[in-house]
Amino acid sequence: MTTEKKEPMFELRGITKSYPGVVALDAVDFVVSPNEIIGLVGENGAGKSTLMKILIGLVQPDAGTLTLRGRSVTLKDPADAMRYGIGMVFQDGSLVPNLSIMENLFLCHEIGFRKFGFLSRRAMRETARGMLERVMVSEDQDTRIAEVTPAVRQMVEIARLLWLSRLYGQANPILILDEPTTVLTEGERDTLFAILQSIKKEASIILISHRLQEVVENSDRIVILKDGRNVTEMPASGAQITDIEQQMVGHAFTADRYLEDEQIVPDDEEKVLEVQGLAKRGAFEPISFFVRKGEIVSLVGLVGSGKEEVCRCVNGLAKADAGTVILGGKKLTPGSPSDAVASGQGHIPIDRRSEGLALGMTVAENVNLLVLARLRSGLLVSPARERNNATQWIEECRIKTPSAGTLCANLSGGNQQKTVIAKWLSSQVKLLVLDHPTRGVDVGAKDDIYRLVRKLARQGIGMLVMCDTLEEDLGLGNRMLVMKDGRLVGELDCPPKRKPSPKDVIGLIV
Amino acid sequence: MRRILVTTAIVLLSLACVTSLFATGGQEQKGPTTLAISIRTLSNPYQNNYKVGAEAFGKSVGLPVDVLTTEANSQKGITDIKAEVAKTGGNVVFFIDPNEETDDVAIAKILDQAGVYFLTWWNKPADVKVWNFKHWVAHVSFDGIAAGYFTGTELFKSFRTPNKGKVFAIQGLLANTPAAERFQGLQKALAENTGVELVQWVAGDWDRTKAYNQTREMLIAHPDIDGVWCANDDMAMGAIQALKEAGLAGKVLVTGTDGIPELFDAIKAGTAAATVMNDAKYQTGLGLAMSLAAKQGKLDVAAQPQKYRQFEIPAVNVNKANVDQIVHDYLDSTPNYDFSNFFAKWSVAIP
Amino acid sequence: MTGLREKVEGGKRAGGRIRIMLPLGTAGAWLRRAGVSGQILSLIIVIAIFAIGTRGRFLSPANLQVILSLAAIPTIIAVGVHQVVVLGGIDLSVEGVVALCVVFVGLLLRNKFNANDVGLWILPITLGLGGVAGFVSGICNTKLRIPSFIGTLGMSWILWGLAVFVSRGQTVALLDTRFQELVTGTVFGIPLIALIALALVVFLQIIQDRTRFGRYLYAIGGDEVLARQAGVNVTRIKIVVFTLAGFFYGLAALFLSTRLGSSQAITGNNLLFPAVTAVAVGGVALTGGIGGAKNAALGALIVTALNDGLILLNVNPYAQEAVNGVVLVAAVALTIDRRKLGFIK
Repeated sequence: MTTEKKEPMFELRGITKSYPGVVALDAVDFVVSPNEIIGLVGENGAGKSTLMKILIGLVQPDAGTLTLRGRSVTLKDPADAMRYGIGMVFQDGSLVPNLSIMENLFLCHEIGFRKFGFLSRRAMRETARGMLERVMVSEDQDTRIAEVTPAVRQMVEIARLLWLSRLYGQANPILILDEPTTVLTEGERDTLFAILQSIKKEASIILISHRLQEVVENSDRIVILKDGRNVTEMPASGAQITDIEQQMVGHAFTADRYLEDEQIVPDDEEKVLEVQGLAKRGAFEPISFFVRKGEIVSLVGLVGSGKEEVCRCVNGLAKADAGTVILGGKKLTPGSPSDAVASGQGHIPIDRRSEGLALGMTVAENVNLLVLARLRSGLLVSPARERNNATQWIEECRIKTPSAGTLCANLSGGNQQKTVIAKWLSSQVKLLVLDHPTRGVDVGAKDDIYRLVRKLARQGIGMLVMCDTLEEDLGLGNRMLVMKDGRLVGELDCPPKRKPSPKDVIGLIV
Repeated sequence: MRRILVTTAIVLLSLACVTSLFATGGQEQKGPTTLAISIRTLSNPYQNNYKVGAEAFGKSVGLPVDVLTTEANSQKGITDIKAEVAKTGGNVVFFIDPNEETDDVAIAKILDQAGVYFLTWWNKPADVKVWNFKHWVAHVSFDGIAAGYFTGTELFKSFRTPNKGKVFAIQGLLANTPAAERFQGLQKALAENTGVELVQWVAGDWDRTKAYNQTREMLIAHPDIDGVWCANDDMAMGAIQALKEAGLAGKVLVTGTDGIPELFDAIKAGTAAATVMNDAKYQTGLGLAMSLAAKQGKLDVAAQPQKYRQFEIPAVNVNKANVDQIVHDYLDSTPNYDFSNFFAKWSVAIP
Repeated sequence: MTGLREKVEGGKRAGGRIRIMLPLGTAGAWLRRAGVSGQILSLIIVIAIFAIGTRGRFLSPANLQVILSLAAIPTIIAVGVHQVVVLGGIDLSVEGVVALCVVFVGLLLRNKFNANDVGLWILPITLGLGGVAGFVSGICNTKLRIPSFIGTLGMSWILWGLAVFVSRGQTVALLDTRFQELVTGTVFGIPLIALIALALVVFLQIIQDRTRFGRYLYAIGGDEVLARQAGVNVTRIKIVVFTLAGFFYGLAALFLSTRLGSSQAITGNNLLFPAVTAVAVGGVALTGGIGGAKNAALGALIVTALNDGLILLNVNPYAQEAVNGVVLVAAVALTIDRRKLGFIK
């Protein structure tokens, strides 16, 4: 144990929870000390979410003890947990969109503000201001939640948890944050962690994140789970990301993580995509580049460099002011995503939940969505062909799904991403734009995605990628385009085994 | 999986019910003939009298009566008729007030095929001919034009300066045959009385509250109105209330059609000028009597001339002079109708 | 903290609702915040067109009196319906509940049909009857988990059938005039019934703005799952809302039948569509979570004024029906923020 110096706040010992057919948690120990940030990491299915559900009383353990502030407790439900000062900020958010910030802050706990049977707006407003200041939210408290950024929502949720624990007289509450940064911009992420560091003075925070970098940088202690068991825990200072990753997956990675051996040398002549003098006022200046058949081109730059907008103009989601996009020899209609798709361009969006996948449809339906015309027999779509096509791609892309008829909503993030890729693969695209393909995907699934990307390249599909890390950009790409302040500032070749180092690139980016 | 089981169970159960209905129907063929009426609703006094008339006739011949209501839903009406045929095994005759004109063809085909005699009232498309169906005994209607003409002329007579002034009309549901006919009758009365001007008309949808609202609004647009003509009595009652609130009841009179008790009271009280009573009890009585006679072979449908297959009969005109007599004869008692001559009241053939 | 201050693009424009800069200073600001500026503008446009078209007759005191008096009952019904809509559901039971309540008014108040006379007790009786009907709808929706669309439609049919059965299809003339005097009376030229409706609207609006019940109502309308997660007793709130709606229908039924001095089941007919139109025109989002009692009332006022104006202008009755349809679609188009709806069902 690394926390002998402090009295533990909350101690979970020998927690076991099994569901029919699966042991989600097997004798797990978890200790929370006052004023610390714990990074909780593990692959999908490692038991993180079950553990969190037990922490907030959503799930009752089959065995094990919970000791809070020295006293044994059972947490009946989330409301009960909140009375003990334990609360969670959910990934999807738990604020009601049509109510104001203030109304959400006090929802269901307004009783203290009642005066002569009516709620005193003034008292609520004053308290709200105070709470919002602590999380550095300067929005008007009467703004509706639907109108503020995800970052503000998250802050409001944190403020609500802090206020509730104060209401219940609990010093040093425990806040659980589930993937808090997925919806944030880089600037907002920095702010979030600054706020967390300041809240730490009076609270304990459990941070769940797939982004190991931010876990290492911002937590005090890292707890790693694998297959429902404690693997290890370590102080965050000095922890190595590769080391953590190995602990998470349970085996060492091959040296060639990005499968550079499989990187092909594209044919010089065949250009899949040609961008000529493309420009959009306020976003980026005239830019020209190309992607060859089977080539992976990574586009890098800071937020605001214009790379996102370039991609949006290429796939027609935004309309450029000038310039042309030529795909497979055909000039695309600016601002028409349907023309882009019809011409053979695929797009794997960053937010696959809302853009890439129909979550309410099955895996098979999603995979077949773009190729229904090909699966016809006569006038009707043939169920047999549909099944065959889906099965083929599920196997090829290694989508882990109970069956082709499973709803996509029930898949893990990594498998959802693979389904999106399978959808485009089966539709025989010429160019694929990958917007952060490995975001929110666990370590094991990442490798599958890298493998798929190489496979796509071998089939001759050109790719434009924007990755989560510079290492990934370098490792995957044949070539790298660097953007800064709306201009193309550099182009680097990335041949296998002789890749430039991140240090070479970072100078260009910043 | 459970849902599938439940659904299957429900489907099987309902199939079983339907088949058992058919089965029992077949066995009952020998029993007494059922007298069935298919009408819109029971919530309206006029329609309710259909039932009274049918039951009175049923009692006189000692046969059971079934009442089917469409509740303004054509599909329900047709389905109920089919079910009734199945239930009685075809040993039934019908009086039908179709929900819409267009229902007639569907109903006629079903009943003709089942060999069930029936008579329709009010609604029938002009191009559908009764004589093309063997079991369609007749189609009868009240003379709507005569009704509109009678109430119109009575209303004009009630003006401060008789037959000179402004009138406002509240029609029934647009695109409804009786509504159109009654309005046509009013037009005829207007043409004969050039001193009367129809300043405006609206569609009151047979609805009392709607007519009340419209009359109140109309009184703003035409404060100098001399009379309100309504296509039925319910709407006339709404108009009377609006006039009451404006202090005009008794000065500006109203007319309706149908003959509901409230309007008779209004005529007595001097707030309404006239109405035309559609004698619903006679309607069902005549309809069932003719259909039953056809079934029992006493009326040779095929041998009847066309003018006896589609015809109109006059309704009962009511005004201040005869209202007490009418109430006594038709409301306080059910008249002992004589159905020995089906065509006693015949007034005009429907082409 | 500028990063967090950035608004979602376009979100600041009150989510695409039309914002009108009324030259009223703080009053204008209040209207915008209250979410009724579009409705006030529509009302002004309707009034202006008809005032010009009728050469001022539309604005005559007599006509204003007629409009207020005719708008009262639709307002009471719309106010009942709108809370269910705010919850994200719909209440189609209006016609059945009104039919049954009207029939009971006919049977229990002094009438020509029987010897009963409960006098003023008729008020709690009809309210109670409506409330019980609403309560049952609420139970169907929450405990039996039947979608409100189906549950209330079924309820409407059941109560309609019951009303016809109880009344045996008769129209009963009322002899009691106390309520009729109340319903048709005026105070300083303002119809009493309009004042009653206004009082109810103000009362409910305060409840919505300033009590926990109101807060939870909107929380459920915004996102039922999240509201439940936050600890809102969703079931109880829903049942209360359906019951309240029933009270309102019961009251409307009492006024409807006593005003015309008669009780017949079909009095309930033709009430649903105007009420739903008023709710939509008033700016209550049919997707739930947005719009209060004031919106429903304004909607009813706009719809009534529109019908009144069309008659005063002697617009062809065939066209009048079409105008109502156009207004409904236009109102929904103007008041709903369609960009925030992922898709349209």
